[in-house]
Amino acid sequence: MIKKIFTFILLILLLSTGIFAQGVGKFRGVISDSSTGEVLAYANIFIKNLGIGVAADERGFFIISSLPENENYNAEISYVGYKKQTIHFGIYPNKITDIKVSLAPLNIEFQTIEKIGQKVYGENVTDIGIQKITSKNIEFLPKGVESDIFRMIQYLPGIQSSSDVSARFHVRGGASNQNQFLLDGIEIYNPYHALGLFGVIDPEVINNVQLHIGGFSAEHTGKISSVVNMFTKEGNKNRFSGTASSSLMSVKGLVQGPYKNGSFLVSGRKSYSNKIINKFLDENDTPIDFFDIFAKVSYSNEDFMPNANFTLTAFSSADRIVNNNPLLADVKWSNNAVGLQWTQFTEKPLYYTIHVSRSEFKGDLIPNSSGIKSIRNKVIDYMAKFDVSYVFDNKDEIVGGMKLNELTTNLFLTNSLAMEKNIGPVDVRANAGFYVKYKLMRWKDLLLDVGSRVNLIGASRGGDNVFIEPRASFAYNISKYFALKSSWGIYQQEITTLTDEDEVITYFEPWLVTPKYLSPTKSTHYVVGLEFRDGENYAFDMEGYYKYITNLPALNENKISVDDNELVSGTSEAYGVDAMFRASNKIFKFSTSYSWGWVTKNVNDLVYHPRFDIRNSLKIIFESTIYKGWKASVVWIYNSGMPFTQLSGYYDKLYLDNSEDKFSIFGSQLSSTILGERNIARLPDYHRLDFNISKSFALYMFNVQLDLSLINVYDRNNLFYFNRETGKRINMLPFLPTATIKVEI
Amino acid sequence: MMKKITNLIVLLTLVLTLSCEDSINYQSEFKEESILYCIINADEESHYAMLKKSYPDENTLDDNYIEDAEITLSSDDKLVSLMKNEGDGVVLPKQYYSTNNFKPSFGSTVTINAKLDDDTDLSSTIQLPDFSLFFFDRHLLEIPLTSYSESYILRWTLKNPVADYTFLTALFIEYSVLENNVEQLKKIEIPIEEVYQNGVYFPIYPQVTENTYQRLSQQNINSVLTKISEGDTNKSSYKILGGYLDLYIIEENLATYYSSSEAFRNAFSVKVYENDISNIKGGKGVFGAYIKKTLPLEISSSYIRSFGYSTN
Repeated sequence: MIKKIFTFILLILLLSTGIFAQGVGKFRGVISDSSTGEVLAYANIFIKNLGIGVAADERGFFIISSLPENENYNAEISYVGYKKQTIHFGIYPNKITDIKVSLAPLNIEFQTIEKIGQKVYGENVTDIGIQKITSKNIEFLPKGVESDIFRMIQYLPGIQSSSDVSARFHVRGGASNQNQFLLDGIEIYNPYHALGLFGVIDPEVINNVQLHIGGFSAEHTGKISSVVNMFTKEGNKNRFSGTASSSLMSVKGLVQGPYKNGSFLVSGRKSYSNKIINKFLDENDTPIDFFDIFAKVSYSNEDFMPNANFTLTAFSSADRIVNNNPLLADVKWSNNAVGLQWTQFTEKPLYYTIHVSRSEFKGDLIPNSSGIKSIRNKVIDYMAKFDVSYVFDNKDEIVGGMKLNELTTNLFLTNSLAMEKNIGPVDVRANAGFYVKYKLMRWKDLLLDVGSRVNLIGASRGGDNVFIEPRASFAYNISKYFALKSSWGIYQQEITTLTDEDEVITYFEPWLVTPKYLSPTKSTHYVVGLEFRDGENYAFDMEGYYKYITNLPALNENKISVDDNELVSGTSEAYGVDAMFRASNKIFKFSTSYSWGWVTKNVNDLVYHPRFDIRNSLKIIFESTIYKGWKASVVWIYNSGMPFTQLSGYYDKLYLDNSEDKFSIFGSQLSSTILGERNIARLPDYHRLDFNISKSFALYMFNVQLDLSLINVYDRNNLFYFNRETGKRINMLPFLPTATIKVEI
Repeated sequence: MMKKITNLIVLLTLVLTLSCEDSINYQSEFKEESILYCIINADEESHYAMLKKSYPDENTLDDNYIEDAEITLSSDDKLVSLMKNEGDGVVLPKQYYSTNNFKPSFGSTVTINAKLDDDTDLSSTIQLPDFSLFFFDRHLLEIPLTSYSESYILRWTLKNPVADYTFLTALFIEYSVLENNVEQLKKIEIPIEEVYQNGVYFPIYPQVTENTYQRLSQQNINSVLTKISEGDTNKSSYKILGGYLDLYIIEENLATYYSSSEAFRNAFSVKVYENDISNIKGGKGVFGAYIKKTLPLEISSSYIRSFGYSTN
């Protein structure tokens, strides 16, 4: 079966390379920033003569097929914040017309005047459940304590956070360990600093982010709820430059520049103060210390290898909480990742990418003399990946690839018998599979993307060796303004965390390959959507979804014996509607999203709503370029109350540790709580208003940006949790002003 | 359009700023539960059980014993009923159940049943610890240990255990003080470690362990012996009577309960609630068992006198 599929793919690719339909040609290129050489992801390309266009992909690359040959065309290239450009090109028989377009960034004062070119819509994508964020989007929003990609993601519909304290998020009723974080294609397993307060990836190095929140297509594998695909900048290809900035918590710096036939970018960030962190943690003095370093080198030499691009990405982050107090535990966790990517365009409309990487996560909970149990977690993931794409003359596209992971997950826990035990598999596990998908793009109004992954070797021993994950999506353009979209897919996840969903603060989530006594987690997504765009000023998207998860690992709360398994298998069901409305003009940008969702879990025949089952969520973002370098934004978020478990009474609990006869039942007894039905009640609603204003100006040879954020402007007392032992109500963030300064040379 | 949007935001902000009253009901309807505690010392014939009921209000303490229940312990062919007793409420609880005639064999399965007035049944079954041979690596523990400063390791051996057991040690020094010409007998536990933090010494006592050894510290013994007479110039009124080390061999249900009642969470991991570990069917509590082995201490007279104390 597998052999047949391979032969089929090969045949298609071989045949396709010789196919050039008569009378049409192709036009392709890369769009970049003229000042830095950075690619402009999702830029618009519109061919005026034909009234058609496409949007560039995340690498700034585009290709347009089926252009009548022996003709000359005018293409308008545009991108927000850049001066649009019209280029003239011809289409010739059996030839691809290649262009490289550099758009000039506009001065701040002109940005509001320049009208963006014709917005391209619906021509080349069946995108559903995808949100795209560019570095421009990131600049605008309230930075909070640290500007953060993951905090920004939480402004999108379908994304739920369970507290101000954590940047961890839940996507359409999925657990936080079902989100995949890819940094230039390398998976980062615990991408959070400071107990999850914000992400380890500095937004300054990000070019753009693709967030897939459901029904994602066949090239994605590994996680069942979402994929956060972060594409980083390659570094300034034209001149050396640097930035230094400081917030109330950390300092960071970035240098970049051209180097021979390529460019480099190095950035680093280091914490220097805990005062702000302590605001998040109920004023407890938490000595968190962290850093992250990112480096990337790109190389492209037409003499060495035409149309090829090589990038080397390296990333390291570490967090330490060292109390210098033997009575308290210390915690350390770190990520280290390195990856090499080779992207090759050919003379044919075919390109491929080869990617190898190594990603490591280490987490240590060191008990000292605190009496708590130690945790040691180590994940090592070696990955090799090959992706290939071929575009036919009729615009159809075939995409395929294969991926191999070698995965080690050691998780040492101390059990109730005080034994340290590795519950992650002792041996190294491999996961191998391939995918193929066909994008039917030949019709203007109907677009189809059909494919499947085939997993040949599973890392988890609990499931079938060969597992097929079919995926399909379609889009139908009802008119110039409306489109219907839908997707369906089956997804598998073979790695999980030992996460207690009732923990409201978690230092890190320890990973392990799904133990062999459980089957890998499987999920089926159904998504239907409606889009409306007037092309320039307004857009409305609405998606309904249904997600069913089986073999969902959950902590075994009935574990008494050391022989009882740490995890049990459950199911989860989530459905809801996400809607988003965007409006913009020359000065303002407004977006609002509303999500209605319903999530239930069934574990050990107990059906309940998990903590992240937030019924209603409304997010409003208002951005404005006020005047000459002044920018402002306002964000208001409303979430209806999260589920919680009420008390149903108290009882006298026997404590065995302080009497002379250690196990006398006549030892001390203290009043302890008894819980009612799980998560049957709801906390009060959450809402918060944040305000940000920034000013950019030139000072001698420097560009300076001052940024002031006001978090929780009206000082709403959002309930974080209620400490049942002390009776104390713990609120989330109070009113908190923060500031950052950034200097660029 | 933009003006309308701006107005809408301002209006929403005002409405929500002015309507921030929360109402939250932390407590659901009270449902009474029964709690049973019984921990068997497998070397003994006397055993105790306690039955309590839950209560709706945290302030309702001490008057929640369950009366007139029928509690039985059974093993193999033997079944005994536990009798209800009244205690003084200080040394002994106001109410408890006991038997002095139940000595199941090591390794046997023991079941406890409690039938309450309202027909509630509570039950649990455990297996008593068992092994073919036990011995410490010495017959007594000589104090001072080999060196005043170096740590010292006490080992023990368990041959052919029928299950995995955990261990807990407790080292005690017994002494007396002459107070108003009356000799007061006292006992103090020696920690395995003392941590100095913010001007205060915190004693760290042994934890349950799978290890068949315990590290002891002469320094901690010195420290405790110094502290018992701290501030008292009349050192000779202190008489060191001796001491012993208790080793508990604990079956897994009791070990799990013990572990769960320890501080097993840290300050960085805040959970909204804790699950209670219980092996009592139909209620809460614990039914467990242990075997206690004791190793006597031999404290040298010269060592005792070095503190100014008198000897036995």
